[in-house]
Amino acid sequence: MKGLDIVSLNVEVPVPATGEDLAPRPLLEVRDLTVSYPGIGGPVEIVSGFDLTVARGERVALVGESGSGKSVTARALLRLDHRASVSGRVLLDGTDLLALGDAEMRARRGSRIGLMLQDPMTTLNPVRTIGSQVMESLRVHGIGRAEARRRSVETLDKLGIPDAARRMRAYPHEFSGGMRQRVCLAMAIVAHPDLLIADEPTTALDVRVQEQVLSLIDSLVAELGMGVVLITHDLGLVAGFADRVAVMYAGRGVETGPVSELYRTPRHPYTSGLLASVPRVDRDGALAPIAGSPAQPTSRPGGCAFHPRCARAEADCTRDRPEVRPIGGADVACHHPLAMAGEGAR
Amino acid sequence: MSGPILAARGLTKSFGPRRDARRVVDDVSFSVGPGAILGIVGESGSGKSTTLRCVVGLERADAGEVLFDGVPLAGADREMRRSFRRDVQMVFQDPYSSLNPRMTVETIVGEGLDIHRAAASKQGRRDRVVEVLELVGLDATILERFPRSFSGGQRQRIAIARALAVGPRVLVCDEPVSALDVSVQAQVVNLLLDMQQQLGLAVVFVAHDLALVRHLCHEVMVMQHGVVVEDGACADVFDRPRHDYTKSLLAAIPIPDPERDRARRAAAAVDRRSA
Repeated sequence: MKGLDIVSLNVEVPVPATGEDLAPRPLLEVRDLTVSYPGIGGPVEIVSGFDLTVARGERVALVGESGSGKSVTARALLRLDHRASVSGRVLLDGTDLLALGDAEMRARRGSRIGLMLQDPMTTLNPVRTIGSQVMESLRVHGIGRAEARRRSVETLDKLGIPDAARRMRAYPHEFSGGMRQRVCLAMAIVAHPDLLIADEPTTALDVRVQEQVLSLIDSLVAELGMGVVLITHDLGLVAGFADRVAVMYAGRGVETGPVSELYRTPRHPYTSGLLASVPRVDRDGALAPIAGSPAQPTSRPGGCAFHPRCARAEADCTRDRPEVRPIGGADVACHHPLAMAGEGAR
Repeated sequence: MSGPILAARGLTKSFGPRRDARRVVDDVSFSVGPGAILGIVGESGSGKSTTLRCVVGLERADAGEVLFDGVPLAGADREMRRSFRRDVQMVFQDPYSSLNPRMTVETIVGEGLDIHRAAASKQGRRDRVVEVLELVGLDATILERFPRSFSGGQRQRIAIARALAVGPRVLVCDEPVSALDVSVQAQVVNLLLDMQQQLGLAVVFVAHDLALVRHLCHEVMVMQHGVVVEDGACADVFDRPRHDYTKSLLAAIPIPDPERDRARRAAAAVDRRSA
């Protein structure tokens, strides 16, 4: 099986030299992550050879549309789906999570990696109190009831839930959407994880609440030195928040770079197309949409998966899959990247 | 006729038990001229969608009236109300639930023509369906297909074609692109603009995305808790908001430009601390 080959291969291959050898070991290092799910007529590869690096205190945004594999990536990092076959390496502080036993992995969920999901209505259990749900993140790691309660109240309080000690006894339906999302954030960070993975944490929220939730995450990064992976489809959201951005398309990373550079000089036609198709409140001008629809996992085009929608596509794009290579300060997978500043401008 | 084509006066709607009713729309008035685009913005629960539903008759307002071509609908005769239902067409938020999965594209788009007896023959109906499909960037090859074989963006094109088939004068859109992928949203926005200009439609557009409203609309109305807190020309409201609520909404919109967004957020944080 192909998946097995990749796993056995990875045992022998040393950590690839990325030019960061002298830098301290990153908090999270994802290498060649490949995730497939069983489908009709064989496994369907959702994520293919994805790389991602997150340093301590760094905020990395993972941007993609539906079907790009961004949420599957998040779940694979935590090994949440037993149906998924995952290969590659997920190094958290140098330990490969994919090589751990189930119990060792369980010990790391919540305590080392926190996960926050999009919709608090489905994340929270409607028949259990807020308090018991936040405390659970600590209790499963063997922390006593009293201590768990104290720390849960402290966390809810820090996240701006008024009268937190009393509100521990409330149920999810008694909270507004924004407050519920704070509870989800509290559940994810109450055990002080080193890494927070937030999957569309503000998509269901109004803009003003969205701003508050992002500011909260920001202050936690500053205070606890957490690394954050923020998964979103919204490039606007990312600009003011992230340090680095990874853009995914059809299960692969197409462009990864520092946020200011990626917005100023997008190299991949998909990145620049996304930027040009978002209306901006600070500027007028026509929208330039990307033609077609996002590629779906079951029908991904060969070569560069973006080529049917790409204005710059040439013969090699339909034939050969572009490898990731450094261009400027970014890593880009494109045969014909936008070369100069201004060329990718809207 | 140069007056407004569609207007609402004092619309009010409450939900819940009479004793403990929640007023969701409270004395809302607006008007749209021919060929104008009005945006209604607000957060969830602000009453913007309910306002729209009262206008088109999907909800019955407790008080207030809807005027079509200056004539109150309540007192209008059968013929007038029929023409209102033809001339005012709606596009919904979620094209996954607004298209009947058991109907073909031809039946979906042609249904309005049957109801309003707008097609002379079966062939005439098919010709009209193909005509509007081509208008929205689709073609005759999809007539026999079902909604499931289309992507979100294509479905919303079909929904727009359905609205346009009977030749309306007003298009009422409730969050028409918020369920779509980012790269597809711009396609549908441009299509709506294009249709509006080509056909001279008036458009009422409900959205929570202020950047989109600014991009698309001539006039804007900001709602909070069922009340209109501010309205006016789009450029005025966005560049010189008067109401605090509008200001706070505008301040919270992320800008896809790292330097500008950071600078603005830092400024807002300083404001909060000094406040």
